[in-house]
Amino acid sequence: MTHIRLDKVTVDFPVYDTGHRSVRRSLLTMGVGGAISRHGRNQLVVRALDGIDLDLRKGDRVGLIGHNGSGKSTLLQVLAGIREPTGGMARIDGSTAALLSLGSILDPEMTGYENIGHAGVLLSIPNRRRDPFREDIAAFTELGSFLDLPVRTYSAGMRLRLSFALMTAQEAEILLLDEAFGAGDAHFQERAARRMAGLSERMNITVFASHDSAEIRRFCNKAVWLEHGRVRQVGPVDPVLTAYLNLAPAGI
Amino acid sequence: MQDIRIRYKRTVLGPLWITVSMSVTFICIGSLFSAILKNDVRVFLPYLAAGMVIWSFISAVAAEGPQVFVDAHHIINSLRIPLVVHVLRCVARNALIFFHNSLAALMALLILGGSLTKAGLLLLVSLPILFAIAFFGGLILAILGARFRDLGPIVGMVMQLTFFMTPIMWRPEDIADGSKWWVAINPAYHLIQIVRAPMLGSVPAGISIAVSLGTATALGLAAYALFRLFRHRITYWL
Repeated sequence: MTHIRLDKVTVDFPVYDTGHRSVRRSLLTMGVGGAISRHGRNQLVVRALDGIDLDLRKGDRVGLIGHNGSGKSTLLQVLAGIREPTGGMARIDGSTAALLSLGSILDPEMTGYENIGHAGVLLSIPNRRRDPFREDIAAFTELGSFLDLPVRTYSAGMRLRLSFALMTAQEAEILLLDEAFGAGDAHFQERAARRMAGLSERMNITVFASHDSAEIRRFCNKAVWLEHGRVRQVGPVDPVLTAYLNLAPAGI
Repeated sequence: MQDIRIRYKRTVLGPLWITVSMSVTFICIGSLFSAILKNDVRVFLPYLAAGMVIWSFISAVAAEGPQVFVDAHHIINSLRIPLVVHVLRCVARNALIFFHNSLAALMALLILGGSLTKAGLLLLVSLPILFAIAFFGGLILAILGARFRDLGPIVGMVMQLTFFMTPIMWRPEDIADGSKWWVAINPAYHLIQIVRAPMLGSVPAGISIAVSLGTATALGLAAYALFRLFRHRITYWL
């Protein structure tokens, strides 16, 4: 049974300056003892998530909204199992497919097809699905013979197509998306939106961070509004989104 | 590891170049040092070649180790892949280069009239020890390197010193007088010895095998402890 349960999840980011990152400095600190070791306790920490409680079940398609820096991406990283919370409990039952940063899996020196093969390994696509995976991506990107060229020769739009296709080719029960389609031409955006819709139909739970209220309205049946790392409001899309948008202009 | 294969296909020339430059280096240094140390170049050159090939594997892993997680931070922060995979990739890539270079060392051995003996079979035991040590050491360096960004240069310095202090460009018997205790206590010497001796057709001393197994165990335990402690913190350091 696919189920996500967050219980008072807190994520603190340590902020290191160059001193904290140095072996030499740390050794010196150790030698000097008391006086400078206060350094350590005074270390700067950014609280990205602050006691998040969340309970998501099969069929939930959640839109994450909030200002920049409100913790949307960090929350997605926690849900994807990439980041272990520093406090609280995160229980995620179900396999996850995360589309968190487009482009991070492309190696500019490899050709399109090589990148597809490489991504197949990274995304742990089973061998029997490799060929359909490859064809699906080739068909969706419409890049044709460009797939034989190194990715560094691609335009930004072409890269976006390829990485979007790769990330959306994952099969899982939980789909996590971060600002999925920011760029690309109108034709591609339309196709991407359709692919996304199909994908989130097949998934049991979708969590989607976006600043685009039209996208949220289109794909989601539930909204979570984050503010300063806390949940400000949860509920059906319309009331939450309206409340958020009414406040937004005043904003930060 | 399909990733290695893809990379390999594209860069056959890369490892080949490294092998060529490695051969040139050990031919030049071999001739020079065998003249300085006044020993038989036929024996010394294969010895030097084997030593350098093994050393360049060790030092490459040590040099790349601290950067492994740092360089992979894009992938680490967006996909859920076991962290050790990144270290394995680093070790596997360098092992591949090592095998290429070994061919060059083997050629040097055969051309100069040496031959492989049954002792070569010991490589089946000693290479896994070498790779295990590289993996554990690489994992430790990767974890520490993610936290302390100035680790790279420090490791580089230590490795260079070790290179000179370890019998690679010279042989223990080339040193005239006795006090060679600092060779005997050098784990790098024993590690190189368990691989180098079988490559050259002799059986390494039992003490070398024991020390190397001990090193592997100690590093393995340290790597396990560090990894257990900090596995969840690594993403926060990147």
